[in-house]
Amino acid sequence: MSGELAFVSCTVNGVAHELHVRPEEMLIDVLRERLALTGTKLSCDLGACGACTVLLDGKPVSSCGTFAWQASGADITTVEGLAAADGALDPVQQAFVENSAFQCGYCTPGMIMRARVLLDRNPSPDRDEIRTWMGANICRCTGYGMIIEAVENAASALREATE
Amino acid sequence: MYTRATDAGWISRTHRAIEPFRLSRPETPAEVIQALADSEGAKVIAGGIDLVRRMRSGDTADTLIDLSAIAGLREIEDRGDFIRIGSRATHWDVETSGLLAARLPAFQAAWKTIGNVRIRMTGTVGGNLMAAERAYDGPVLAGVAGADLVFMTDGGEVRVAASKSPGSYPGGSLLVAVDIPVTEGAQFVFDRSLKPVVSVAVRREGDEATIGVGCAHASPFFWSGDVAESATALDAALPEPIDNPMGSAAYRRRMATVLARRLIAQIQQGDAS
Repeated sequence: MSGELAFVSCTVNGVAHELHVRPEEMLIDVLRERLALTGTKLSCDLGACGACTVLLDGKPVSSCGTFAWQASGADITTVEGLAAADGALDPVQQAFVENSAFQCGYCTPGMIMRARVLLDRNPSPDRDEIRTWMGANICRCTGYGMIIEAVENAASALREATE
Repeated sequence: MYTRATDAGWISRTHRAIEPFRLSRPETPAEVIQALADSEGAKVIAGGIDLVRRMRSGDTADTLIDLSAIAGLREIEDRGDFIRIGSRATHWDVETSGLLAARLPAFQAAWKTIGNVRIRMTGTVGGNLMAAERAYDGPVLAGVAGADLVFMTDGGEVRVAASKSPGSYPGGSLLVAVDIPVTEGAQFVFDRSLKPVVSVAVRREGDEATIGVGCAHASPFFWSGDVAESATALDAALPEPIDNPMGSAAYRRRMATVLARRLIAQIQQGDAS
């Protein structure tokens, strides 16, 4: 059986897109295959690890666990959409670099997207809140200490920038 | 095929392919009921946390009925002696509800322990309850809270106690809300630290306790009676738990009563509301 194609109109990193997708087509495949945005990483493919996290209207979702049609009308941000037009890194990206908050780096885009949402919602999270929040993503290299420190430093940098 | 040449080069792609299905996007609960009647293999999707995982693992559906266009299923409302939680309310909606913080704080605190931030921001109350997954917390919490599940059927509204097994839910229906009673002085505590082996929730109202045991049977087991005898009576009443490599039946039984005793002691020490 094959369903009719679904029409999806959305913006990705500020660029408008109109697509026809198969009902069973996942958001991650549209982002990676059709839009060539391979910064979003495919890992568990079960919506369990968070490596494929993107923002849907500012909310972090697993793009491997989201059908593409569920993004219709949404404003999608991927890790490629964080840096400024001149290439300046987002403070969260910068903090991950400065803290070497990655080993193999495969989980990093998802970690950065999730941290970005945390800091958008609470510019001054304590360590427990950061641990709880980032616990939704899995780093198989187990580099959690540096990741949490990077988020703390990103929060400090963002606060300093707004003071 | 796990790799594919694209404009971005050779990339890996989704390797847990989902079987094709038709997509239905009704705008009213009545249209959902009709869509369910039209396709025997139809399934309903709200947040999709559970359903997509199942479909990634091989479950199929002729039709997926998307609830996102239906208005009014996500509200959390004060109805006087109960709080109505719309079935499409996310766990995050429950966690951040000022109304629940004011009127059912212990229930809210327990519900807040479900999953992680990623799951809570997308997964829904209805999805958790209707998944009929023995390790999910929603059925235990709703059952112990004395909640009613409110279904829309082709014959009108049907209410089913959340403590009933999923087999008692009306066929071809849509869960539209969960009604949680508000009782002054009732206390509510939950321990999920031994999941997926066993979880226990306890509600005390006066001299009566209600205990729910999750994870240990196909659906949660509930016991109600005199709080003074509750742990002993629970042990006697508990059906034979599941016995598998995750946890033996004897261990699940033992820990169900241990956790129940601890939670009742916690209530008696005043560490619950």
